[in-house]
Amino acid sequence: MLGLFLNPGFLFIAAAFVSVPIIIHLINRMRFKRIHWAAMEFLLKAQKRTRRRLIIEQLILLMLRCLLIALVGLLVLRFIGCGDNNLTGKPSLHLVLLDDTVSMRDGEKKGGVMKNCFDAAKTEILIDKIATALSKTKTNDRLIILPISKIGEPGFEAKDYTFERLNNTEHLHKLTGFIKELQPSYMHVSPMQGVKKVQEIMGEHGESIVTLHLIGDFRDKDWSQARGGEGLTKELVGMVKDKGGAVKLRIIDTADPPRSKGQQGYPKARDNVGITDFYPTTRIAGANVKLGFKIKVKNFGGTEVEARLDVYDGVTGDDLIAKIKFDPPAQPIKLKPNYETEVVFEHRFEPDPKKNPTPFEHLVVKLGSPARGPLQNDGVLEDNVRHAVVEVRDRVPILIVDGERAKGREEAKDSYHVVNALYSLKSHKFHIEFADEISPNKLTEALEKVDLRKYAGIYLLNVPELTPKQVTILENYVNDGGGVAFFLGPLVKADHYNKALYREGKGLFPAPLKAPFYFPKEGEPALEPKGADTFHLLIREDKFGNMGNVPIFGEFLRDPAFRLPLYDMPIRRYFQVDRARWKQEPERVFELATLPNDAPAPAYEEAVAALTRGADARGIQDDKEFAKYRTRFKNHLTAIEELARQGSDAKGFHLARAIEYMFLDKGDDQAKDSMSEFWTNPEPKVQLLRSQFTNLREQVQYGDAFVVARKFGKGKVVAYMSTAGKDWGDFAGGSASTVLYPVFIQETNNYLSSAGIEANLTVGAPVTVKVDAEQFKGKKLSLSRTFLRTDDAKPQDRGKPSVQPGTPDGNQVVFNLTRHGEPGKHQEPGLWVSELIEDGVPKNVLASFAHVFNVDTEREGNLQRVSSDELARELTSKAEKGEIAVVTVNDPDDSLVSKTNDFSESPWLFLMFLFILVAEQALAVHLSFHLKKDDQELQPAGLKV
Amino acid sequence: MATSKDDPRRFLHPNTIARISQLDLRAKQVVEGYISGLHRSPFFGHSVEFVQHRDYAPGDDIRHLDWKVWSKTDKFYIKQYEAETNLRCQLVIDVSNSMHYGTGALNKYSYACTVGACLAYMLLHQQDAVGLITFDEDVRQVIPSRSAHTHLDAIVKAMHVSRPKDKTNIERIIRRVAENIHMRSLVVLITDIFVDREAFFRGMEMLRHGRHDILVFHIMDHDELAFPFSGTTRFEDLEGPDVITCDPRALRQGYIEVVEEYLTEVRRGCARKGIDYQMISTKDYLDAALSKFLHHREAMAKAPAKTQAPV
Repeated sequence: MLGLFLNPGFLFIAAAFVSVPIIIHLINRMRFKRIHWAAMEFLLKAQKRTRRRLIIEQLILLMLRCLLIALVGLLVLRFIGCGDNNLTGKPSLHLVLLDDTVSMRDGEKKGGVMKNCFDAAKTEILIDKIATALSKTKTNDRLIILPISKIGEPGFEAKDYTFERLNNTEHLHKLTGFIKELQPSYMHVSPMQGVKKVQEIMGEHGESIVTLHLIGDFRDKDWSQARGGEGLTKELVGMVKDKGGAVKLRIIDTADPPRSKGQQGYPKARDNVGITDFYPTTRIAGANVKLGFKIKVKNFGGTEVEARLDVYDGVTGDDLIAKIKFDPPAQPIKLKPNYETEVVFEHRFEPDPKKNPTPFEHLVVKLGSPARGPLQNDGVLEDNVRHAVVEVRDRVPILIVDGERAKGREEAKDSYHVVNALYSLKSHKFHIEFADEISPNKLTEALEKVDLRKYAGIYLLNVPELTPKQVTILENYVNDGGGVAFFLGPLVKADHYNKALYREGKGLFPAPLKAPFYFPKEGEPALEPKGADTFHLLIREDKFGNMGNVPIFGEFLRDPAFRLPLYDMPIRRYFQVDRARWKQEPERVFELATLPNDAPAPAYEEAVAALTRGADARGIQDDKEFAKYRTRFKNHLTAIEELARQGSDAKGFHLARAIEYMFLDKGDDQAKDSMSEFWTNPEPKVQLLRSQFTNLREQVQYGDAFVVARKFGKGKVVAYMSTAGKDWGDFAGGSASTVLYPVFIQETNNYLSSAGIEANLTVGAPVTVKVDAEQFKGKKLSLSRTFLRTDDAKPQDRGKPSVQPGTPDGNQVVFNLTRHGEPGKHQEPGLWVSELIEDGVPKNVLASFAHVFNVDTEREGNLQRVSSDELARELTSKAEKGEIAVVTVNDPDDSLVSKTNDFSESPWLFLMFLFILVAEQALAVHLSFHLKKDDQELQPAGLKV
Repeated sequence: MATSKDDPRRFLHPNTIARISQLDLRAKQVVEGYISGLHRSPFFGHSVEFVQHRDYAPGDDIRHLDWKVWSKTDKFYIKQYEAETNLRCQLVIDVSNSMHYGTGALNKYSYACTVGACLAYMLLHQQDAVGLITFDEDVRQVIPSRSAHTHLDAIVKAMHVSRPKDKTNIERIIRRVAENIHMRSLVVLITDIFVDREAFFRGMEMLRHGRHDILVFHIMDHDELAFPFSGTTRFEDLEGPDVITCDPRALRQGYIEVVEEYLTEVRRGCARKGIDYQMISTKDYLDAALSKFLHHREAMAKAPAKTQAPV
């Protein structure tokens, strides 16, 4: 209702004035003269005759007078009509969704002044265009500026970002002040999140016209259809269409150089390099031992960039470049275009409690120009710095829960071999605790008694079962970033593992076991050692692309020579994974190593014959083009058939090896019948046959899964299907493979304790710290949080800690470390140290946690802009003309000023006013309310006699 | 009117009287009786002013035979002379409540009395006999006809009334008036005629039946004719319980139409009965109205005698 007027404030006054004629009429009825009248007879007759006509005429007159006042009211109120055809005159809502993510910092120095996309958005769009335009509008347009990084905050209220009556100078100053104060954040926020919020706000506001200004840099990564921007454009087009023209969308690109109108392709974008990852190889490291760090630097641009890496100690600010050695060592490093370069280095921490009272060491890596200055021609500089944190202990604590308790530490037993393997590593110092020593009576109760978080890894060796509570504790531990290794054995209850630990893929254990017995089951003869004609353990490099990517094994088996001991790794008994029930998930649940297929080769006779005698194989043999390979190819097929023929004692892995040999056979130099060359022929029928043989090989090569792993929450779990000691195999001792056993254990330990997802926390990401309520029973817990600011070559600036209480949640106390705990600080990259304290006293530290927050370089570093063509195709062309417009900084845009097409500007209003006025006067005169000129002479005719 | 309200002679404003006295008042019909005066009698009697001869009819007084004509023609003719006779005039004045309405210097009552007094003075001055009857709900005062100059005082005193009452039954009142006039007279009725018209005309009929010559002065206040009021007004009936609150401007046109109809009805009714009728507004000058009437009267006298005017 109020939206129908430009000056709605006068509405009630005008409404009151409309009733004035009625009130005057009523007052007049109450105030009257009194006349004693003789000729009442005539008066009564006259009244009787004219009563109805008089009432009607007077009502019409009253109505005309009310209408006159109503029209004056409309003039004052500035009525703008009820229909949608005059929308431009109504107050409208301007919603600005301002991209303030890291990529908006993209800019360069122009005339000695650094100017980035965000500055352009602030000054050239928000102040110069939108604020200026709205200050000129006569309607009470409302402006809501939503920095996209703010909208996810729980305390976010749109009214805090709302500005009204901008034609008032004071309000305009307030707005420009607010805009000038805006700074780009260090966060990545999906534009979709912003659009959803915008829709929510639109629903809350009554304005019928909404202009949505999307101000940003419109990067290809967010907007391109191919990269998942499809949903976003669909949402926007849907939003505009749903509102049926009441929503106008303005895509305002502030990236430099401005997107030109006729530019159909990709607009120019600045090159950018950034550090995408920087993390230690383990989450918890020992003091004074070398700890590996990995840096990933990506060049998002199209030209090679030379850059220098510098490493600083985040705590002291010391430059560590002299102490460390990069691998590859070359400095400056050459960053190939569109390529991610990995650099590793090792560093030995020597904790000094005076300098750093916490157990957390903080490293900062910076990417700069070869002259150690800021990198030139680099779009975003903020992604050239990255932080890493590592917990450094004198010795790395490890917990071993051995089903055989102290007996397990005897020679050849599980604990014995694991402990020896861990201690054999000189580069690490471990402090190993045994569950049976912590809880002598009930072994697994040790899991309940201590804070598991302090352990870099937990080994469950031949543990029969765990109580539900212990399962939960262990799951919480892994979920928070811990690592657990399962080694199975004769005591393990497979049913329990499946039900309590695997839980159909929802539990800790990576794979279901074939219950109830291990294989071969008790009483049956153990497996004979396989011959040396196959690896006894097959590393599943096929699932990870190459050997280097295979967790645990990739580190030490990258060199094929190191795999040779696997020809002798006898496994006598093991638990079989129930493949029928097991569902592997890439990146979450995977198989690291598999036993070779022991099944007899003749079992695959049909499948083999279908390929070797199939039309595809025959076709190739008959093809003259491949005549020179014919003999050798035929020989291979025959050999494969022989292995699979009934009566053959070959195993599946023999068949796989024969197929492998067929692929790799280099042939005779003279005959030039190299099969490896033949299989690289791009002819479709060759490739088809190759893929068919590859499938067959995989089918016949792999037997039971032996080493499986999964990621669970932020942590990792590894399961080895046999014993850690020598009970069920000779991996730990007594075989050629034994040389690999310590390395395997240590790499498993590294894998378990390697920094999880927490190492890659991005600025603004919420973090939850959960502690076991029972463990701290009776204590009033709170979390003291400190942001450790780091600047170049300066000691860490320890800010004032803030204390926040926890929230009980079942058996846990939960601390939600959202970015709102400490406004402003948590939105910067850097290190937060949180200390669990008792009774709010900072000295009573029960546990401590560290979280580093970095810029999301992976999602913000690529400055490639979405093509104009795509924007036009996916947005502009799908809406009505004028509903969606792509605007650049240089575009003149006066469409923002709401035109005041109210009725006061319409001649019709005045014409109507005049008409009603004339009608009123005419009626009034007609009713003799105004005396006519000759009124005094009006007399009855009888007088003239 | 310079005289005070309590002075019974206030109706005899000298200027008015002086102007009226220049005109001759002539009666329409011959009134019985005899006094010297200016009025020409329609009856033939002893007079020096010869009018006409007519054939002798048995029974005629032989004293009136014109013997000279007999000697010449041997036929009997009666010699007729115009005789000077006195006029017997009965003033009948309405002094009811409704007559007390008025907004100008004179209300209807005052105006009626002034007119009555002027006529009385004028008639007495001409040696005519004048009587007065006032009425409201009934006949209030009866002053018999006299021609003495001093009789004017009695008439004027009788005009003064206090506590006027409403008219109720006009027919009954006029019957009473008729009963009080024993000789054929000129009855001058001065009223506002705010009564039942049928009853009024029946009363008039009754007077005419008594062979009286009737002259009606219809007194209307100017307000009652022009209805010039404005602003919300409550009209309270002077003679009844009716009350109307209205905007008089809105009702004005309708009111005037009704008044016109009323005046037309009265005028036509009077004409039909052979009654001289004159409507006078209290705004009119007294002499102008009387002069106009007397001229009209004179014109009527010159016209052939008629008992009934054509409708």
